[in-house]
Order: sequence, then structure tokens, then C-alpha cells
Amino acid sequence: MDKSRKRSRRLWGIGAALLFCLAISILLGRYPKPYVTPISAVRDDALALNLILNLRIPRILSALLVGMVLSAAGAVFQMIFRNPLVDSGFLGVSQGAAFGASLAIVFLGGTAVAVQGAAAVFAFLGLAASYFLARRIRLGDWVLRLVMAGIAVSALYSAATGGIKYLADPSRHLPDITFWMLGGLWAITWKDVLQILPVTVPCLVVLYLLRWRLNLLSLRDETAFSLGVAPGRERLIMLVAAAASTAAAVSKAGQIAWVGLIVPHIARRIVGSDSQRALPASMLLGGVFVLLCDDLARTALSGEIPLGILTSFIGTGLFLVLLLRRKLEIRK
Amino acid sequence: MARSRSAGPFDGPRPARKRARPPDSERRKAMRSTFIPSVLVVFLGISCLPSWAGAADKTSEGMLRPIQFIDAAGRSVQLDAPPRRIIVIGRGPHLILHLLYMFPEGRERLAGMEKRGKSASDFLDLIDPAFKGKKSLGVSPGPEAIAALQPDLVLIKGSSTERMSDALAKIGIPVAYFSLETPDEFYRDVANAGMILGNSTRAGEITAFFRARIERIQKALAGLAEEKKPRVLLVMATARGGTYAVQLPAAGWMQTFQVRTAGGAPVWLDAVKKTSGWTIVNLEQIARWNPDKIFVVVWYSIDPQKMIDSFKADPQWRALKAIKDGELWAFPSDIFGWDSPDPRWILGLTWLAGRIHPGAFKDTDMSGEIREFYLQLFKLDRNSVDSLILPKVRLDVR
Repeated sequence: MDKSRKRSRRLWGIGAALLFCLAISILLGRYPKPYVTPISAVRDDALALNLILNLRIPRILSALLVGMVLSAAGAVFQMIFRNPLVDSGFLGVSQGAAFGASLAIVFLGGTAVAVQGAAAVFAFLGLAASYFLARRIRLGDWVLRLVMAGIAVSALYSAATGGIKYLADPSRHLPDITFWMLGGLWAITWKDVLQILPVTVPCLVVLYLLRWRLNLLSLRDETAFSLGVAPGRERLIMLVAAAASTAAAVSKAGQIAWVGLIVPHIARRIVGSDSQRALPASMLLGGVFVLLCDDLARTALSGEIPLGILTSFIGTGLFLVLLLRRKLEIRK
Repeated sequence: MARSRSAGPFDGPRPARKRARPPDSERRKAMRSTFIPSVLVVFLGISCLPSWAGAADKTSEGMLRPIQFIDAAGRSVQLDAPPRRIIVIGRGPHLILHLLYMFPEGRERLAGMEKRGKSASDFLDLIDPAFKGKKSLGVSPGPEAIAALQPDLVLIKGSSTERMSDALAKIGIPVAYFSLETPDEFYRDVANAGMILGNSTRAGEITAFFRARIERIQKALAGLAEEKKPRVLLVMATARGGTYAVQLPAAGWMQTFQVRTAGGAPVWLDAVKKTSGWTIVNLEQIARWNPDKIFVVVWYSIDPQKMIDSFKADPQWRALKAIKDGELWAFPSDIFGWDSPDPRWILGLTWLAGRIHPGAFKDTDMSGEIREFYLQLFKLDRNSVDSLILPKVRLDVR
């Protein structure tokens, strides 16, 4: 009982940390001087206020959404596939979204609707291909088959994206595709936030409401069925919600690596493996992680540091720490 | 700015003063006492006309007036007044910087630029001591870092993305895209720069300089039959890990225009993209073309002589007709290459015409051309060109 209360308190602590990060992020940037925007500037400088209202706040909200979505999707994939090493990047979802976006940029005019639509379609196809391929492979257990299938699908998408990059116009299309590969939120406006909000928020709500079912869905089908769960249907709902929200988020932010892999592990370390708390903790921690990385990307240098590079560096560092300190596992 | 602003009021009265030439001094005095105030009233009235009409354009340069033009991305750019603080960002910022420096107002109003190497332009470092003092931004600056330099216009090379212009528009900073990749785009961008800087006269001079040289070449080659044109291959070569990669320019690019205008028949057009981009080519294909002349654009960090020697030492390359005939040339450069969409492309074209048709251009003095280029376009004096530029020119490397 005490342990449970302690973990709940930790969850609230993560929530408080997220609110604190949101508050300080509003004052972090490069205008009117590097690092911190003084309150006096917000009061007296019309451009500072304009910049905070029209660029910095949408960017902060996007970082929050991207972090929450990628971490939640990572937690869902890891639980459903019973594999601590999967995230959307391991199952062809991110690569599928990147391929779809590249295709839309080069051949479909690059409009927001085309990019987001193509990203979502190919993200789903990537996930479906990994799943069905894993079922067809006759080698090893489910986890190994899934990882192998995911690697194959991701590699296929990466090769196809490389082909599109080769065909792309270097002055018009290639910079947009390169943006995808590196990830970043520097050009986010309210319009972008409003475009991803209708997909990401309902998906996050679905995942949050079904979070307690994840404990059951991570069991073998026979066991889950005997406990009153329709594993096929519920898995599908959760996978669709995770893949759709990931596709929407990366269609605006580009490829933001390692968030979906590392954040659920850290969340489980803090609040335990029960998905009732682990999933919301992953969402909140993901928000904190991407928010802080984006603060660094925006503030550290006069040139933007690509967000995907920062999350990869920091995520890899944290992953190594976790690997060296304790075995990676899903504790039930 | 102040000088050009005062030019307007004096332009009006002068012709009127010439017309009023009375026979005696008293009459002249009386006329002057009534004429000058009336001219001032008329002038004030005329100067108010545009605001009444809502068009707000004035003939005298530098006065506050809206500017409107279509940029390289096809966007209609409207500025309320000539910008005083201009920032240059994007890939190859030196290309726009060199364009701006052809205008006296450009170097004054340049407030900062994105810096991708140790300097945004080694050339401007050399010719303008104030250039080092300009603010610089890191690679891919965000809107906040740009806003901190307080620009009233941001110029971006390329036309790829609307994302930056959308983001900057939200905080009231206008953006104009420049391309420069073809002669037509170059002329359009020069004209746009003239409008932005309030000096369309200078833009006309710059364009006339380029057009005159092209016309001279076209005149010299007039009547040249297609079958008389040498078959030319122009490639870019880069050395990677001891081997070299050879790439072909797009059909619509400046390099292709240079070869065509210089009277060559480009052999690579079927193998490349139409609009832009480099396409990798292998030796088998080059051997199939077996061109009469080969020009190699060498990346600036590589010694062109070493690159040409390495081609000539290769037994497969040695079998090509162009190499046997001594027609393998490194494309010339000074501080920057003469093939890129930099103003220097006109020097590259002039040189290329002389190498493709040596008989038709035997009187061309490249040193004179180089001096004229820097004198006319960048206002360098002869001594500066001789001491700063000519020692860096790599001409006729083969």
C-alpha cells in the first residue's frame, strides 16, 4: 500500500516537473538576448511578446505533444510486443512516416495535408508489414521475429527514402527531406499545432483510458483471453492509436529518435511496471524530455541544433547508463 | 540615405529655373520672389499625391515607399519601406552577399548573415574591413536568433521551404527568396535587389554589364553551325578517400548555360535532371560520349592541378579523345569558382568561350576582363585587383 502511494506521489511529482518545465520554457530563447527572455522585455518589447505568443508557445506545445506521443507509443509497443527494445523506430512506423512524407514532398506537392496523410498511411503500412511479417517468419520466438521483421521493413523504407532523396530536386525538395531526417520544431506555428492536435489528443486519450488493459495485453493470448480480454481487437485499437499519433507528430517534427525507446524505461524505473501508472508517467516524462531538448536546441547556439540529434545523443547516453546499471526488462 | 532623400526637392525646381530667364534684374527678382514659393507649394502637393492615391511610390530614391516584387519562390513580397537592416541566411549565403555587395547600399544595410564556414565569404573578408564586424548567426538559425538581430528583411537562398517565411511572418519580419541559379533568375534577383535597396539604376548597370558580355560572345559566334560546335563535357569532380567522383550539372543550371553560350554542344543533357541537381556519371558513359573537350569544376579545397594530373595519370581516362588532344581543363576560379551562380559566372563564360573557340576569341585579355569585372561590379581599384584577386586566379590549368 505504501509502495503504491509512493509511486503515485512520484507520478504527481513528474506532472509537477512538467508544469515547471513548461513555465520556464516560455522564458528560454534567443530574443532579445541569448538564453533568457527577461520579464521586462515581455512587458516592454512588442516583438518579444509577439514572438512568445506566436512562435515560442506553439513550439513548446508541439514539443510537449511530440514527447508525450512518442513515449506513449513506445510504451504501448514495448508492452504489446513484450519486447523492451522496440519503439516506433524499430517497427517501421517512423521510417514509414519519413518515407511517406518524402514521397509527398517530391511527388505530391508537399502540402501539409499530403505530407501528413502520406506519413500516416505509410506509418500504418510499416507497422502492419512488421506485424504480419513476424507472424510468417519461422525462426526464433515472437520477440526475435518481431525485431527481425521490424529491421527488414525499416531498412526497406530507408532504402526507398534514399531513392527519393536521390531523385529529389536539391534546391527545392532535398532541404525539406533533410529536415525530416534531422527533426526540429523551429518553424512550428499555431497552424501546425492545430493540424496535429485533432489526431494526437484523441489518440493520447484513448491510450490513457485503455492503459490498464495493457497489463493484460502483455500476457500471452490464451491467458489474456481467459481473463476476459479480446486481445486481437484491443491490441489493434491501441496500435492504431499509437501509430496514428506518432505519424501526426513526426509529420511536423521530423524523425525524433530514441524518445519512444528510452523514456518508457525511465518511467517504469520511477513508478513501476504497472501500466496504470507507467503509461501516464511515460507521457509526462516524454513531454519533459522533448521539451528540455527543444529548449536546448533553441537556446544553446545562434544556429538551431536539430532536435533529432539532441534526443539521439541524450537518449543514447541514458540508454547506456541504464544498460550498465541494470538489466533492461519488462517487470510484471 | 540622407543624400538621396534630399535629391528629390532639388530635382523639381531646376528645370523651372532654366525656363525663367527675364531680360532685366528687377523683373528677375520679382519673378523669383513669387516663383520659388509657388514651386514649393506645387512640389509639396505633388509629394502628397501618392498617399492620396494610396500607391505611395516616389521617383526619388530612398524615400519611404512601399516596395513590391515577386521573389524566387514566386511569392509576392511587399515591404512598407526600404529595409535598413538586412539578414542573409540559407545555403550558400555568400552568393546573395556577393550580389548585395555590388550595390553601395547593400554593404551598408547588411546587418548579419548565417555563417557556415570560418567566414561567410573569404572574398568579402578581403575587400571590406567592415565585413568582419557584421553579426553572424550559426548554421540554420531559428526565428528567435534572427529576430534578435532586428532585421527588417531576411534574404534566403533557394525557394525550397515556406516554413521559415511563415514563422518569421508571424513576428512581422518579411522574407525574400533569391535563387541565382540561371541567368534569368540572376537578372530577376539583381532587379529585386535593386528595388529592395532603392537603387534600380545600379541594378540596370549590373544587368547591362552581364548582357553586354553575353552579346559580345553571341556576336562572335553568330552563324556557327551546330555541327561545327565542339562536343563538350563539363563535370564536377570531388576527391573522396583517394578516389574521385564525377558529377554532371542539371540541364537548367548555370554551367550548362555557360557551355551552350560559349558555343559548345553539351553531351550530357540526356543523362541529367532538367531543373537542378548533380548526377553521378561513370567512366563508361563518358567514354561512350568521348567528348572533344572536357572541363572539370574542382571543389575549392582541392588543388586543381593535382586533380587534372590524377585524371591524366589514369589509363582509362588517358584513352579519351579530349585528353589525347590536350583538351582537359580545370574550370577557373579565384577566391570562388567561376561556374557557380555567383556574379563570377560571367568571367567563367568569357574564359570558356575562349577555350571552346580559341580562334574567335584570340584577342580576349582575361586579366583585363578580371580587372574590369571587379572595377565595375565591386568598385575595386586596379591596385586592389592586382594585389588581392589576380594572385588567386587559377586560369588555364590543364
